[in-house]
Amino acid sequence: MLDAFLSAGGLVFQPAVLLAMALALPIGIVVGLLPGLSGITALAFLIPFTFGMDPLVGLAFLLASYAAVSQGGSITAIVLGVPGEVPNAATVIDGYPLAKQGRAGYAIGGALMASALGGLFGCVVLAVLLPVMQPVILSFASPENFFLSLAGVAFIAVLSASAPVRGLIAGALGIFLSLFGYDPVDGVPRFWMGSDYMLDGFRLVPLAMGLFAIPEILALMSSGKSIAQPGRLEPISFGQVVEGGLAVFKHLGIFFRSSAIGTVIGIMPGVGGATAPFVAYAAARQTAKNPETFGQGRIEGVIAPEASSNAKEGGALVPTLALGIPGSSSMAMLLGAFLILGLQPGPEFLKKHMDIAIALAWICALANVASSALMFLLSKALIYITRVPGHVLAPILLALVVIGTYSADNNVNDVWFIFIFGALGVAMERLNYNRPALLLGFVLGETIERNFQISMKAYGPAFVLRPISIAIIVLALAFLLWPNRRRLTLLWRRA
Amino acid sequence: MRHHRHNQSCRRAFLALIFAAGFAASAQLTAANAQDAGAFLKGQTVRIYVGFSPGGGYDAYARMLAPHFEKKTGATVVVENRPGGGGLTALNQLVREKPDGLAMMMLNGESAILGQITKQPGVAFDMTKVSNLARVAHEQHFLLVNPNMPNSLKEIIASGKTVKFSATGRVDNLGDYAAVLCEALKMNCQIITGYKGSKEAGLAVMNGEVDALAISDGSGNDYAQGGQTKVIATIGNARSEFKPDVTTLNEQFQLPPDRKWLLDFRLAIKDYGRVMVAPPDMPADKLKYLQQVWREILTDPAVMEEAAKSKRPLKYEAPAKLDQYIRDLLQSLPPEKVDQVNEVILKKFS
Repeated sequence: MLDAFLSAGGLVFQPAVLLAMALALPIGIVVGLLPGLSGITALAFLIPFTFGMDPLVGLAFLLASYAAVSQGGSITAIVLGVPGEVPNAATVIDGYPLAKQGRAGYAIGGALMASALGGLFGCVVLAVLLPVMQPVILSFASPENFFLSLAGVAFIAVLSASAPVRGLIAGALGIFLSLFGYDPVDGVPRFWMGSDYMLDGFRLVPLAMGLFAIPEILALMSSGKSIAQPGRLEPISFGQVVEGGLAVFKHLGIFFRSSAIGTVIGIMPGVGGATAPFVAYAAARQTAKNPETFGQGRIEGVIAPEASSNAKEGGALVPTLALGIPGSSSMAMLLGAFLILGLQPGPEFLKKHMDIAIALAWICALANVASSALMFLLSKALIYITRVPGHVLAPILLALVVIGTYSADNNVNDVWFIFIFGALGVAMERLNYNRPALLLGFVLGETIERNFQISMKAYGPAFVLRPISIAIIVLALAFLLWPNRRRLTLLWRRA
Repeated sequence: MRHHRHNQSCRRAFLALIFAAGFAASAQLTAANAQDAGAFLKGQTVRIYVGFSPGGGYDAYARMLAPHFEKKTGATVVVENRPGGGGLTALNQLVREKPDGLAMMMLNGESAILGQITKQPGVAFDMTKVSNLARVAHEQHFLLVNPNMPNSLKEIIASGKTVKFSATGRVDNLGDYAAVLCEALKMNCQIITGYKGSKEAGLAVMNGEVDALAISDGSGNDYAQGGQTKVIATIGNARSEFKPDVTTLNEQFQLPPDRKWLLDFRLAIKDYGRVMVAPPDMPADKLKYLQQVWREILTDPAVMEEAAKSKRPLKYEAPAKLDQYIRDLLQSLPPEKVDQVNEVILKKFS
């Protein structure tokens, strides 16, 4: 085991590999900073460049760019209120208010440190568990995925604890929107209205962009002011960023819990990775003092989703490498890259190439840390964005959002839907309906339906009695009821 | 007299000269035409549509072949991913393009044919009109089972237990193979659709949620690694290079004609395979040129070796044969057979 570790280290610290990473990081950061462009787009763009590369070099290139993209996505979530990718939508909740208060640097520092360490956590867990992961992965089947997704929906209620009924309505609307298009089980298209585009229903990227970017762009255009409200401006310095970074160490409990949540959710293929940051956020809120101040600029609300979403990617590598089953949609693409480079992940791969597998864990860890460091250096420039006047920033942002969304599927209809959902986003913002809740419902709706139907068909109603499923239900209930534990214990004692 | 004869021979010589000149001129023109056959592509941008997101098999084939097409024709090739409708929305879009030779598609031919036969919503193409350029590849399929299942199909059928199959849908190249297999062998089956992709369907066999999966040989071989699943039959007209020891269904069973027909029908669809197609009503000269270019690329030993190395082997078939497949599969089928196919593939074994 130790020699695998050491030989993996030897593989990683070669000039070609390090050079590939050094090239990939800036590309990844740029892609991450552009709203609408996600990790998957970056991978799709870069995979053709790796044809003919030595496998480890090619994979280092791809993994490093992928790690950097999620860093970039966190930054736009904080600085612009626009999630770079769907998992970053949870970061918007507390990150953007911090930017509006003129404390973007503080939020960025917290996000970068949480991402770096969270990613490190996920990769370390990856390296340690890889040899023994197989039986664990195989014990999670459709019933477990169903209950995890259901728990995710329950967390919608937590996300919107300040206006619970509206939050649940938003979540329900999200689930309703997810019903359009092919029924996941029977393949019959629902509400497709004879349009080819609607066969696959509404698309996630236009929805996320429309919900979050359009209202912000409109606000910038109409007020003309910069994102950071004037009158509350601190001088831009690294001091804020460093302070944010150190905040992670003041909230180590939240950090570790969030990273663990992210890693576990990443390890399980079948549960959407997008849920990890929301679950981590909700868990942080549930266990913090003064939970009602979440949503107005609590640094824990930035640390939790950031740590978990980076840890999740390390976790997602586990089933990808151990079984050849991708742990997330970006891993599916990475798997394609493996094959192109001549490697075949799976049990045989682990037996013959454990050192390469661990080398990938190394690269994953290094890439996380290096991209955070790179972003740290760029943070001053990025904070400036929050000081740019609105009437200058808005058109640039709009152009970037449109291009980024179009590039996802080369489909013009996606662009129209940015604006349709933008209208929805504006309405929800005005009427105080929770937008992340809608997004979460949308992402989970399909997973819940799919896994429920499969579980019923494969096991019958007894699927609820599986041990791991019961454990998930118990844990989810515990999380939901935790803030009210005193009241409940009193009730229990009286009964 | 002599004068007359002299005039005659002069005239003949003159006529001969004119004929020769005309002949030479027309030969020159023909040669020029042959050289110009590819002129419509030089310097142009050609798009190859792929109905799936980047990173998948069809995308990989398209991206592997694109540089060779560029080299042969002087065109610039752009691989355009247009996912949607199970890979078929891109075909809907292709058939609406102008037949100018600048748009092609790397098509999942099996899905297209099945979609048309089973009248899937969202099918707005007619495979009998699509221009076939070449078959790029086709795969045998494996029957994968959970390691706890018996080692042979005969034992499984004899036990009478219901065999659960995983699939993403009924016409996804997983579910339809399962349906045809179960009907042909008169097996008790339950096809559980709804898995997100073929990898998730494979995982379901590994963790015992389902018992079996009918999947392409390349993927099936991957999932059988390390004993996670076992391959107990080849569903194909020949054994697979991936596992040459695994016998085909026809080797294992002597099927009566009416059941063998259904299996052969599905295997004929498989033989159509992964194809390169162009919009309908292509002008004959452009069609011929494109077909020739693809034939040269796909039968070039160097290209074939490159493809084999990246585990995406090429198996060329000529367009004339592909047109024949389409006629047999879509046009000469009697209505009761169409109904039988629809019944088995769409409804049975739910």
